[in-house]
Amino acid sequence: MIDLTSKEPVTRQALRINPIAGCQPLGAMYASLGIHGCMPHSYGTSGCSRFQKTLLKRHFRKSSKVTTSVLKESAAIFGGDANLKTAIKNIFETYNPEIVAVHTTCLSETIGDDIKACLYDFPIPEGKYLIHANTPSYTGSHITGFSNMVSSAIQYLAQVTANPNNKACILPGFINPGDMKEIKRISRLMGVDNIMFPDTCGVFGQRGVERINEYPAGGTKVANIIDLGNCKKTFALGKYASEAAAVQLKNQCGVPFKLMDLPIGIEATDRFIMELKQLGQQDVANDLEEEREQLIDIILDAHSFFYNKKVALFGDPDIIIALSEFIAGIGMIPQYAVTGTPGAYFEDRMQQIFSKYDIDGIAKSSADLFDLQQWLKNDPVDLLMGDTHGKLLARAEDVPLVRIGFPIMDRHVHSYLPIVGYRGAIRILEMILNALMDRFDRDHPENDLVFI
Amino acid sequence: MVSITERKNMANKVLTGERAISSLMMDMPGMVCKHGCSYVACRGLVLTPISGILIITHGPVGCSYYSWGGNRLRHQAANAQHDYFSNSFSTHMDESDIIFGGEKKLKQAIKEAVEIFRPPVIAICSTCPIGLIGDDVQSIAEAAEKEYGVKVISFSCEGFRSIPGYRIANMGIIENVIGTGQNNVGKYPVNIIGEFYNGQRAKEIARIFKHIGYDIVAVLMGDGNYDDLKNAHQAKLNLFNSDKVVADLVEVMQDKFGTDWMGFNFIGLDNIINSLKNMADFFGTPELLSKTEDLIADELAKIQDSMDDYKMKLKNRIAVIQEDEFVSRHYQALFSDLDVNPVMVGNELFCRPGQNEMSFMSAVERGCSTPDTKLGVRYDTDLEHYHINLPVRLYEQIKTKTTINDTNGVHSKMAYDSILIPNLTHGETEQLLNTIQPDIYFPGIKENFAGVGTGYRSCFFNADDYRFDYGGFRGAIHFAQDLLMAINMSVWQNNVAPWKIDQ
Ligand code: SF4
Repeated sequence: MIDLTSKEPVTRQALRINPIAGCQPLGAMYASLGIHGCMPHSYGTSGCSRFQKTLLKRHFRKSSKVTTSVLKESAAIFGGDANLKTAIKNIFETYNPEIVAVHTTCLSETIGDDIKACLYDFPIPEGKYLIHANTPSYTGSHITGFSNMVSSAIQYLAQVTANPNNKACILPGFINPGDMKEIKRISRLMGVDNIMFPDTCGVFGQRGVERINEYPAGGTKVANIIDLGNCKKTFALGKYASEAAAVQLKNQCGVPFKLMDLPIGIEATDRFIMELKQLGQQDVANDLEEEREQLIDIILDAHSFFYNKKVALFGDPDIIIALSEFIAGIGMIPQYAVTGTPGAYFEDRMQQIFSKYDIDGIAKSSADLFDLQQWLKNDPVDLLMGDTHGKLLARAEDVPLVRIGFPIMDRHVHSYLPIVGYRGAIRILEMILNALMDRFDRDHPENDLVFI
Repeated sequence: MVSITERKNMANKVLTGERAISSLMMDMPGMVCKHGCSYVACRGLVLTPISGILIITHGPVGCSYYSWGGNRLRHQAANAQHDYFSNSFSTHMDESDIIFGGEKKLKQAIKEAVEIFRPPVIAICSTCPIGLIGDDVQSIAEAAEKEYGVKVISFSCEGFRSIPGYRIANMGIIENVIGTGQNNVGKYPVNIIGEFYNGQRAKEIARIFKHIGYDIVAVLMGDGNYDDLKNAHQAKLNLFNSDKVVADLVEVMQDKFGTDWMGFNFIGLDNIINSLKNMADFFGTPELLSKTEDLIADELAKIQDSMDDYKMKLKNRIAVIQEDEFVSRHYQALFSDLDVNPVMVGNELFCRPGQNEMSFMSAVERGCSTPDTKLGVRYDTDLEHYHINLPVRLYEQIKTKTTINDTNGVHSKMAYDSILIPNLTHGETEQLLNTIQPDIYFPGIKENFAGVGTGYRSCFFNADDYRFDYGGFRGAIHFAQDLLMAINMSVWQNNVAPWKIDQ
C-alpha cells in the first residue's frame, strides 16, 4: 500500500525510508558519460553498475555502455587489483575507448584498494587515457559522486599550456542534456566561447545503434578537458555538484571561478547573464531580452493561479535551491524543501530564501520522503515538485506532482527540454500552471466549469 | 582470469568439440554486461514480490534506492496494511558505520521498523560492505525475533557472493517460511514458481487454473504473499515457469516435503497446451483431463478468428531478433504461432531451467548435451554470443549472396528446422542482415549486443519495459498487435531526412 506513513511524527535514528538520493557511483557514471569516447568502469560487483545503468536508462530512455570488474569473494579477501587490471586490458582491447573512467563502489572502498598504486604502471595504449575517482557510496550521494568524478577528471587531465584559449569553463552539474544545451546557447548568445564539462548532449539523445567500439558523437572531448587549464574563468553552477571541480581547476591551473546557483528562474538566470556579460563584454542579446520579457509577461498574466500556493520540493540540492528561489520570487510558497544529499549548505541557503520572502518553511538535508510525507499529513501543500519517486506521495496525499529533476522514469521527452534560462523558466511555469489548473478543473463542480 | 581473446578461443573450442569449460564463465572483468548481483536477485527477484515482508537493506543507501519499485510487478496485496512494495527501507550506513560496524544501526533500524509498521515479518538483506566489516546479522535477527515477537530472517546476499541471490533467498524461504502454516488446500494443489514481472500473466494463469480446478497454494517469484507461502509444502506439484534457473529450489522442496515438480511454460500456444496436459497427466484423474481438454478447445476457438487474421497479415514476414536466450525463446514460440520466420542473432548462454549451473556445467564437461528438464520442454543451448540461428529455407536463399568466414560450426538443428552459425563477427552479422532484409528487427537490450543494422524497422519489447504480456492464450494476439504496430508505425516513413536520401 502506498500510504503506510503515520501522521504522528516519529523520530528515527537509523531507518531510512524512501530515500531521495542514490549513491556516489551513479553520479560518477553520469559524469563519465559526459566525456566523449569514454567507457565508465565500475570497480565493484556487477550489481552496482547494473542498478545505476538501469536508472540512467529509465530516465533517458537510452541505454549506455558501462563496464564492471565483477568482483567476487576472492577479491573481497585478496583485493581486486587483478580484476581491475584485467578489466582495463579487456576494455581497451574490446571497446577501444579514448578514455576509461574508473569509479569505486562501497565494496572496493571497504576493501581499501589503492587504485592509483594499482594502475601506476599499467600499460595504457598510446594516445589513450585512464582516470579514476574515489566514490565511496557510504558518504554523500550521487551528487557527491558526480562532483568527485568531475574533479578527478580535471585533476588527471587539465593542463596549462602555452596559449590561453579565451574561453569560459562551464561546470553545469548534474542536469539534463536539454539544460546543458540551453546553457551553451545562452553563453554563445552572450559571446562567451566555452567548454562545458561534462556535457551529455548527444550522448543519450542519439538515434541509431553503435557498434561495439563506437561511441556517441556527444560528450566533452578529452582535448577540451585538457584545455580547461587555459580557460579565462570557470562558472561553477551549483555548489554541490560543481564547486569541488572549480576549486581543483583553480588550484591546479590558476583559473579563477565564480560559484553560482544553477540558472533556474529569473534571478539566477539574471545573475548568470550578468556574469557572462562581464566576461564577454557584450550587450545582452535580443533573443534573451525577448525571452525574459515573455517570462515576466506570463508571470503577470497567470499570477492569480499560482499566487500563494504552497509547494513541497524534493530532489537534488542544487536544483531544489534554485527552484525554490524561483517559485518564491513569483509569489509561491516553497513550504518544504528536502534533499537526500547531506551537507549544511542546503539548509543555510534555504533559510536565506525563506527569510528573504518571509516564509515559515522547513528545509532538511539528508532527509527522505517519509519525513516529507509526515509533514504533508500535518500541514498539506497544493503542489509537489520532484522526481518520479514522488508519484506515490502524490497519490497518497492527493496532491498534483510536477516532475522535475532526476530520475523521471514515467514520462517521456523531459530530458530533451530545458528548465534553465528564461525559456526553461517558462517551461517550468507551464508545468506548474497545467498541474494546478488541471487540478482546479477536476475539483470544480460541473456548473462552474468554464472555458476561460 | 581470462582475457577476451583467450576467452574467444576457448569458446571456439567449446563449439568445435575440444571444450574448455572455464570459457563458460560469465564473469569477465571489463565486459559490458547486464548481470546483477546476489543482492539484486535475492531482493529483486524473490523477496520483493512477496507481499507482507518488510525488507530492510543493510548497507549504504544506494542499493535500496535502486531496487525500490524496480521490479515492475503489478501485484495485488492480500493485506494492504502489510504490503511494503512501494516503500524502500535501509540502514543507510555512513562512514562511521563502515569503520565501527553497523550492528548498532541495524538493531535500531529493526526496532524502528517494528514500531512504525508492525510488520508480520522482516527480511534483512546485506549488501557488499557487510560481509567485509563482519556484522553478525544472523544473531541480530535472532535476537530481534525474540525481543519483538516478529519473524526476522536474514539473507547474506552481499553483491560479491558467487552464490546466486535467488538461491540464497529461496533457501531462506524454505528454511524459515514454508512449512509453518497449516491451511487446508484443495484437491489439486499446486505452487507456481515463476519469474514474471507482470501481474497480467499471473491473473491469466489464475483464471485458467481455477477454471480447470487447480488450487494455487503459493506463488514464489511472482505475485505471491507471505501467508500463502507458509502453506506451500501442502502442494502436490511445483510448477516452475522461470526464465532463469530456479536453483535447487524445486529439488530441495522435493526432498524436504516430497513435492513433485515439472516445467511449465505459459508463452506460446504449444507450450501452454503441453504444460496443461502434462499437469493433468500428473494428477491423472479423468475429471481433470476432460476439463483440460475442454478448456483448451474453448480457448483455441475463442482466438481462432483473430489468429487467422493476424497470420494472414504476418505470413512470411521475417523478424531478426537480437536478444538473450530466454527472451529469444519466448519470441520463438510466439513467432511460430504466427507463422513469422524468426532469425535469432546473438543468443547467450545461461543455464537450463531446473538445472543448477553446476550440474549443467558438469554435464557439458562430461561431453553430454545439455540435460533434459524433467517432463518439461527441452531447450537448445547456443554457446557463443555472436551467432545466428536461421531457418534452413532462408539460409538456402542467402547462402550464395554472402560469405561466412567460419563455417566450421555451421550445423543444423532439426528441432527448429534452423541453422546455427556460431561466432559471427559484427561485420558478418551486418552483412547477413543486409541480405535477409528483415521486416522487423529487435535490437534487444542494446548494451548487450551492440547493434547492427541500423535503419531497419525495429522495436523493443524487453523484459524491463514490458507493459504488455505475451503469455496465455491471447498472448500471441497481443504480440501480433504490437508487431504490426511496430512494422506499420507511420514514423518510419520519415525515418530518414529528405536531404539524406540519395536521389
Ligand atoms: S550502495 Fe554500494 S553496493 Fe549498493 S549500488 Fe551503491 S556502490 Fe553498489
